[in-house]
Amino acid sequence: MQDAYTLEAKAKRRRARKKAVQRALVGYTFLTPASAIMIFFIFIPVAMAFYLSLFEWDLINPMRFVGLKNYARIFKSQDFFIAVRNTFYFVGVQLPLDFCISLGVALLLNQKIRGLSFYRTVFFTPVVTATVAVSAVWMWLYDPFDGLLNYLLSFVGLGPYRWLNDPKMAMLSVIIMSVWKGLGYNVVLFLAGLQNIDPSLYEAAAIDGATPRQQFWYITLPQLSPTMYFVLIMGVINSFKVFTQIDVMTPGGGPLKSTLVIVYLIYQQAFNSFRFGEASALSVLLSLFILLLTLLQRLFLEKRVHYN
Amino acid sequence: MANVRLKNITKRFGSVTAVNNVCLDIPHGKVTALLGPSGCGKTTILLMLAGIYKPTEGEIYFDDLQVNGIPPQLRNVGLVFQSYALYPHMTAFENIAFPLKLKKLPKAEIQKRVEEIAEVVQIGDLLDRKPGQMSGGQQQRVALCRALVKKPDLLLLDEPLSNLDARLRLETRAEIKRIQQELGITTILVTHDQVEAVTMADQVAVLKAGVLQQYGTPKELLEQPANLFVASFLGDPPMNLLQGELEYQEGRCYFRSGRSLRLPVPPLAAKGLQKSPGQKLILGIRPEHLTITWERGRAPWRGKVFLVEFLGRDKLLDFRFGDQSLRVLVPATFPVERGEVLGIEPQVEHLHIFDPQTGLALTGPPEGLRACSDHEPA
Repeated sequence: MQDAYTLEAKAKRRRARKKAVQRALVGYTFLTPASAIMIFFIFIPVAMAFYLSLFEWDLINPMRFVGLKNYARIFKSQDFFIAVRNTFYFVGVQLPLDFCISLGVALLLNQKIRGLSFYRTVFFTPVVTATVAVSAVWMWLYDPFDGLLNYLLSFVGLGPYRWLNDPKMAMLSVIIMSVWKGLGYNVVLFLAGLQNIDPSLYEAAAIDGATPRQQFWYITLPQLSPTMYFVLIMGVINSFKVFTQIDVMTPGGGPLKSTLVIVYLIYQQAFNSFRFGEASALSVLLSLFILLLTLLQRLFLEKRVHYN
Repeated sequence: MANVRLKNITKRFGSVTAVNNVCLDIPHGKVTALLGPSGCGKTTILLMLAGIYKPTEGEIYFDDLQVNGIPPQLRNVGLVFQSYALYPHMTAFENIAFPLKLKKLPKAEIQKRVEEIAEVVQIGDLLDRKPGQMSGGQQQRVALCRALVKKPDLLLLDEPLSNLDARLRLETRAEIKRIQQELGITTILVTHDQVEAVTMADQVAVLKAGVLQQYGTPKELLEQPANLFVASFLGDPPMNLLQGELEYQEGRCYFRSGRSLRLPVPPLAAKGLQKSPGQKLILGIRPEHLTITWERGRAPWRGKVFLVEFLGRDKLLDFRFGDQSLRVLVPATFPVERGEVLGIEPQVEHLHIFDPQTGLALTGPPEGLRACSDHEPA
């Protein structure tokens, strides 16, 4: 009696296990396309970068293990510190400008205006346009001799400026163009955040005696804080990775290396000097740095974000 | 505290007229309900009183002050939104303190007043919580505190009970009434629920499609509905409405509906009627004003019980006469089976007669219509 019972229980368990395995198989099958892409194009390259950063390799000769020598070399090179300083300059100016202007534009567009989707499209167009194309157009605008900007400024008695050719102005010129190009993305994010705010909160605040300025301060800003947090985190990450417009508008690191940023240095090391080990080590440093900054932001800012 | 007066208020949104020429005198210290189905303009009136909307035409007075152009923040009104509209990023305390903080009162004063009002509304233990950590009923109490803390002249409640479950609704109804009486504050509440209006309010204004239908005490509205809409909207279970016509026999006036219904119209009620036989009428009588009589032979009406509905304390008997139905309220203990034939006796003093064309009541003086002398109900 007991034997029959245990046998039956065993069979039952076996069937259950078989079923569980089957279900798992089905699940993993569905996951395959996405996970394959992530493994081959993200995880393996990331691991490769870490691995390569420990080697000397020029694509032609065999790889040579050098341990942490690549890192040591980076910290001894002058270019690295120039690139770090330039990158900080770019991020420190571009990010606050982009943040404030896009918030302002979003607030303006959030008024009840006609043709909102038209303006949204206008502001979003630069975002979806290829950076190379945009850079080329801005190079014309910045042209020291027959550029539109100098022409316009001449009417108010300014200039002519040398823009991208001036070591003091090259980075600023790249920043202006980058703000213009990236604005629409944040505008759309801020607009979505603004339109998510319950209008009855403003009515309640008005009845409670809040002026429009106080409503902005006590309702809009706190209610928008999750969006602002997201925009800031993504902005920091993207700004540190700036490359394309630098490469197109100021090839070779700009006048007197004034626009040499970290990613551009990585590019130079890898594809101009064929020092893949050192380029990888630079990439590793950059990612660690971005990670550190993001963690710091979470540590200090997240508690000031009001999630509803 | 203020008397509130609406004078010929009209509000249009584009081509839509939300509120149409409404006049109301709202007495101070009392609870007044704006009652009507959704889309009748009641919330629009509330928001005009709060100053969020501006009337397209007409004037609003707080006592003798015309407030049309006065912005919400200067009106000193408290409004509890249907959704409560608590600031999600602030604690209950900060929410309640917000109006005082904007007035730049000293911290100690704010603390004192918030605690005072929290005491009255009994939410002292919730002050540290954020809205997301509170139940609907608790949020509503906090919203009520926020509305009351600045000692408003006028308290406006937008559907105060609609987001609460049935049990909490009863509790909150009593609670709001208690707080209102404790503070003696002029209160206007908007509701689509006639039970809510009748139980909470001293005065009820019934609205339909932006037009004021009747304004009076709950008793007046129930006993002397000015028109068919008010008659059918108020009362639970709803009033029986029978279509029929007048008939004269031996100098007496009868109401006849189909073949089986014939009812003498009391002389008092008949007074206001044009004495034309065959005049189409609608006769209304509430289920509680019909009694079952055992002397079937003598009863004015006789009918077969079509349906018995058990309502707890009462039973609702449904009789069918042709395509018309007549509901009678009897005590739950009343022994009755489906299919039984019973005699029905109406209490003639509670009969209402309406003109089917205009919907207006033809019996009794429309005393309830004293909202506005120059106003004719539609």
